[in-house]
Amino acid sequence: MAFIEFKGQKIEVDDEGYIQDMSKWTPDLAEFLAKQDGIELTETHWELINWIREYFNENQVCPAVRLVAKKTADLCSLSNVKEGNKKIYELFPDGPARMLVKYAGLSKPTGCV
Amino acid sequence: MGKHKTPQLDELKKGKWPSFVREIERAASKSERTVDLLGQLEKSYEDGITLWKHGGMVGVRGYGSGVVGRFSDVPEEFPGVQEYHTARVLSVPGFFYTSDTLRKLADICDKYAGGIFNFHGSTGDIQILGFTQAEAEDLFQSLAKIGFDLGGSGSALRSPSACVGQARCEWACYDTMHACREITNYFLDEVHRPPFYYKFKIKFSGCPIDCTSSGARSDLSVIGVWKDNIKIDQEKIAEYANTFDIIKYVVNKCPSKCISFKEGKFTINDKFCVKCMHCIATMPRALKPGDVKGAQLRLGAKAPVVDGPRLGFLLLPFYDINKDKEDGYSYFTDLVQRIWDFWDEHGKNRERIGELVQRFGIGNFMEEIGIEPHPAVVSYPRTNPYIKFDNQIDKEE
Ligand code: SF4
Ligand code: SF4
Repeated sequence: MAFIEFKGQKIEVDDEGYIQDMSKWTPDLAEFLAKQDGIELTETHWELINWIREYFNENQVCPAVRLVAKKTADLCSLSNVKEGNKKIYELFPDGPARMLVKYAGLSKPTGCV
Repeated sequence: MGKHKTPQLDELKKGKWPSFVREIERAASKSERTVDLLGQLEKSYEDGITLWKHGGMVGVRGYGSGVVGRFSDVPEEFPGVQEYHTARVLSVPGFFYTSDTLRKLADICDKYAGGIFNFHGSTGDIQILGFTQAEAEDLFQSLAKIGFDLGGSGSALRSPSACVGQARCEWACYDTMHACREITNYFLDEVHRPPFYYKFKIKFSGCPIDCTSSGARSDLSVIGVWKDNIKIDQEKIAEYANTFDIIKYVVNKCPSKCISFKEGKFTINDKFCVKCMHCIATMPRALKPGDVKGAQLRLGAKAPVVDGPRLGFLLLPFYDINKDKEDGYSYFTDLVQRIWDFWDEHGKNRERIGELVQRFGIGNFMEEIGIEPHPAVVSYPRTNPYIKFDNQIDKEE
């Protein structure tokens, strides 16, 4: 198992940098993880992070990517889901699974490849 | 192969046939990590289980699909395959490559990956195997330099694929390669950035022989058909009659029993022909598809995962794809968009379109996407006695 050093704490992450213990998550940690990928979290980033955390708490799974696209379209007042989906990649260039979920401190999404 | 003992793999090299083990060994002679691939494979044969973890979050900037993660479960033992990812690369429709292009692809594969590729995976993509997340971006950029792009994976539009069609096949009822290329380009966003509840596949076959197996493997299959009569050359039929028993091998095997061969005359009652291609494929010099060519659309086929396998149902018995080609396939792309909007509105996570339509009812589905049902799409006509003909009753009253 790998660890990251953050504020003098050792936080356990998996091979791909997802934190293993969700209770270790703090907003500062999200900022820190994003910065490692060269991303400054804006208000829109935060709205999505908070929304996906709430969704996870309620459902114990990450939302379908379709819902993330819808939410993004709503938040950014875009005309349709297709535009919402493109916008996600402006906010999180490696895609929602590899960035949004990771910064939100949720477990790695599984699914069909 | 030196480093690892592989008695079980060695068995698979015996005989005069091609052997994937021999190919991997050739790659391993140049690639350190691929040596470990052999070791891990031997171990998984010993243990009777696969030693790959499922999935993994890998990819390149700006894309949510195209790279499939492969992480070893036993990296301590086989560090070379700790990360051994796969890139899905959009293939050229019809699978035509110059030898020069193949060499360039091979060089990229040697430089950034484990020296192995797949032409082609069952998805229709070229697959480059055996690179790490750290190498992914460079691999991708060098592919882009020679004009290749990544394909689909995850909940995306998977790389559409086509049979060789009019390029080499006399039976093609439309230009499969052109349709595949244009429609892939039109929906490239949906390929690269997964927007769906689950995967969606489109495959193009030029005739009902269906060389891409689209009818069983794609959510939307586009299969070439003709509307008029099968063309018959009686002289050639006579030649075939001298070489084999037409009654036994053609007439009796016609699934709709619509062929007769009497006193040397071969006739087909085309109204009942279900276009299975059997007669044409058995006597290709004597029989040919008709002249009024187009395609049928079937929806909802899929492999077993989640809810069992299914074949597609006939959505449109005849769609004039040859005319739509002149309009830039606008009818097709609009229709696909309406299907996706419906899926978006009513679907659930990991539910394929075919499962959704079954849950929702084909009639309701067709109404929502604005397609008039056609009698030809009813699988068992005239079997239900409880039909109410509103209009007729009204008239009688
Ligand atoms: S599907 Fe039909 S048209 Fe296409 S290559 Fe096969 S036989 Fe030819
Ligand atoms: S294509 Fe098939 S159904 Fe049609 S006439 Fe030939 S054998 Fe019969």
